[in-house]
Amino acid sequence: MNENKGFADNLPDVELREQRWPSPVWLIPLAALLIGFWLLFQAWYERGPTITVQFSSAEGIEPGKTEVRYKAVTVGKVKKLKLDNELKYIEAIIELNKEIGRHLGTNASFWVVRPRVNRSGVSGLGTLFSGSYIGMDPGTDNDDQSFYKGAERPPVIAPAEDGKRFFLMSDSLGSMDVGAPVFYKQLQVGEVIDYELLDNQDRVQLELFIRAPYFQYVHDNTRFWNASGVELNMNSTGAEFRMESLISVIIGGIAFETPAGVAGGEVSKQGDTFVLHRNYADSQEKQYATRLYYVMYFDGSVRGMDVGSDVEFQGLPIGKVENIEMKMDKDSLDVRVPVLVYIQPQYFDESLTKETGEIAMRKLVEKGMRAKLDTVSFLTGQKVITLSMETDPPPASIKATQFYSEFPTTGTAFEELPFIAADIMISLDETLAGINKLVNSGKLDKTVDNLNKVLAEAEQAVKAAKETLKTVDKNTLPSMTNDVNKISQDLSNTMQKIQGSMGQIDRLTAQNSPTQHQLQEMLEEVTAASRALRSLTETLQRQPSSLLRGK
Amino acid sequence: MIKHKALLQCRVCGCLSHAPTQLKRFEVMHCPRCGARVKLAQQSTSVEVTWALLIAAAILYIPANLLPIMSVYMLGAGQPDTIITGVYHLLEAGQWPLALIVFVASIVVPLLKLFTLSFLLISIQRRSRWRQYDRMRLYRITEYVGRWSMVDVFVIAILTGLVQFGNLARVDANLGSLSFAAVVVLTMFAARTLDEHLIWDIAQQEEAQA
Repeated sequence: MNENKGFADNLPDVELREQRWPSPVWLIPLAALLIGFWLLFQAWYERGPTITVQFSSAEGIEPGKTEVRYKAVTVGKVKKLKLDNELKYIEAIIELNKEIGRHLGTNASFWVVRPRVNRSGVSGLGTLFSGSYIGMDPGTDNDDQSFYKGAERPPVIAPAEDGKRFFLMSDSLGSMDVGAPVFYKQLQVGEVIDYELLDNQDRVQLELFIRAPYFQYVHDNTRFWNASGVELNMNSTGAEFRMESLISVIIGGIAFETPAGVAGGEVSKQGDTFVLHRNYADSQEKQYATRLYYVMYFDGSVRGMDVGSDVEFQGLPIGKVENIEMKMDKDSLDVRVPVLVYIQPQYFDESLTKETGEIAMRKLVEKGMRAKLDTVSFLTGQKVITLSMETDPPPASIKATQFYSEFPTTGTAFEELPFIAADIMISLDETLAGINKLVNSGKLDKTVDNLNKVLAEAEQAVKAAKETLKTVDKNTLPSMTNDVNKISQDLSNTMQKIQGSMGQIDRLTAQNSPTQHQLQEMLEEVTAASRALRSLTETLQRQPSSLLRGK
Repeated sequence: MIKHKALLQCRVCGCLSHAPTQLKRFEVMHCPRCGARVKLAQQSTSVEVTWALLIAAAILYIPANLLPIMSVYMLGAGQPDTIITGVYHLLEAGQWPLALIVFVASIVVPLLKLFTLSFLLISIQRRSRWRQYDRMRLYRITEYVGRWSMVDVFVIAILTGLVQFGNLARVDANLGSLSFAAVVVLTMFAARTLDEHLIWDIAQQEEAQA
């Protein structure tokens, strides 16, 4: 530097420029300011309305966690829970999204969806873990408010869908629930949207929603039945298996059909009420309002007959057994089993009323109609009551008693047939066992041997006698000898025949003979099979579910 | 401002030039040969730049704390958390050491950095001579600690990348984490641009003038 001091004056002046703007580094805080404002503005702008929803219980609702969903989209969150002033309800303070807030109506509805197996299908494992959420429907009008009452159950159906609603009356709810499917020809066409217990009627009313265009298949005479589970019917006509769909087996369902034989009729109006039958078979039976009640006394055992057994006429059901009980006359110690049945005379003629039907029945009895027990199946011992016209019966009539009229009955050999059959089986079994024992012991062989020996000896004796007679009677008794000769010849022939048959029996019944063994085996198998079948039907009756789940 | 005719050296090309005796307003000096900006020692922009970065950081510190930084969903349940609610949840879960770490690293440290840097800047601008050595140490500590706040952002980035199991577990980053990262980066830059030499410069100048 020191040597260069002399050059100092030759140095150029520094260049001067104007810079009116502050350092560009200030753009950074400016940008930060803009970004910060934008972020906060957005956060504020995105914030939707805060509303209060009243629920009867806070079960499953967690402040800060429970979401509000509309069509499975999260649109809000429960911020806080508090009790109302009277401690009757809980109030959930809910913060909603902006979009949903814009469409919130006064008729918006909120309900708690608690974790359960979803009826309308398996909606992903996630829902199992995510816990409860609050479902909502924003409603239709656009006037929002900040206080809503939460519903106990999800509201019925999205009002946007086109369809009709019908009501079903049922004795019990069964396995139905909101969302249970409704099938038509095994096609899901709707669902159960609501149910309630009718206060005064002690019945359950189910509300169905059937989508367009399927509701046009609902006619006045359409039959609805509970299609839950599997139906297995075993009766005289064989076994019938019916199942609507795998879903309905698991979660229940309702099916409907308009019976082919019945005229189509008008398409039902929205809100019509139908009866929910217990099962398909039930629904297919003709339903007539008129029922004539009769009591019947049968001489024999009524084993195999149950409440609900059919009353048939020429093989067609016209009524059912309503009650079976036992009554004893205290004085005479007479025990009787009155069987209460009802008969629907309209099966004979649809125009019959209760009065004309009763008259018709009376006339039929006078003409010879009697009731008797009939066995439907020897295998299960199931019985029905058959009404039939007897030829030349002892005169009888329908006797009016204190409660129900008594219908004349007639005994039948068939009545005891299953038991006779069973007896035959048992004795056959015993006999076979006896034979078996005899054959096995070898006594029979010996007896047959002995018999053979005796016969041989007898033959010899006869021969000897013949010889003697020949020599003795050559002259004295020629005519008589001929006769004796002939007799002894016959005797000999007979003896030979007996011997032949004995030999055959011997072969047949000999120990280890194939015929005997096969017979024995077959009988054993028949016995085992019938026992197994009976136990199967019993099990199915007791636990129909075992068909699905196993024992 | 400049009272005597001084010599200036361009830092880029090394060209020496005469500084003018008087600088007008809005006038800045440039090298006559290469055009690079030439400054006198007193004209350091360090303070200005640091202030700018610091103010930007302070502004973004607000959304960083108000907006959620991370959403953790476990088994479908979860919600976005701001730093404070995150700390609160950790405390609720009984994880107070973790809560303390998060609280210190995410709230206290950035805040302290903002305050210490502001304090240093103000003290430099007031040409304070108060405890220069301690202020120097304070600056070093601030600069050293600063980068560790980035751990939060780092954790969020890793979790967001790794934990994506649909409904079982999911971690999402929210806007807050962006502003938080900006705060950390800006304070780091601010600490870097602050020329600690300035703490001593005043004393030197005064000594020189004396």
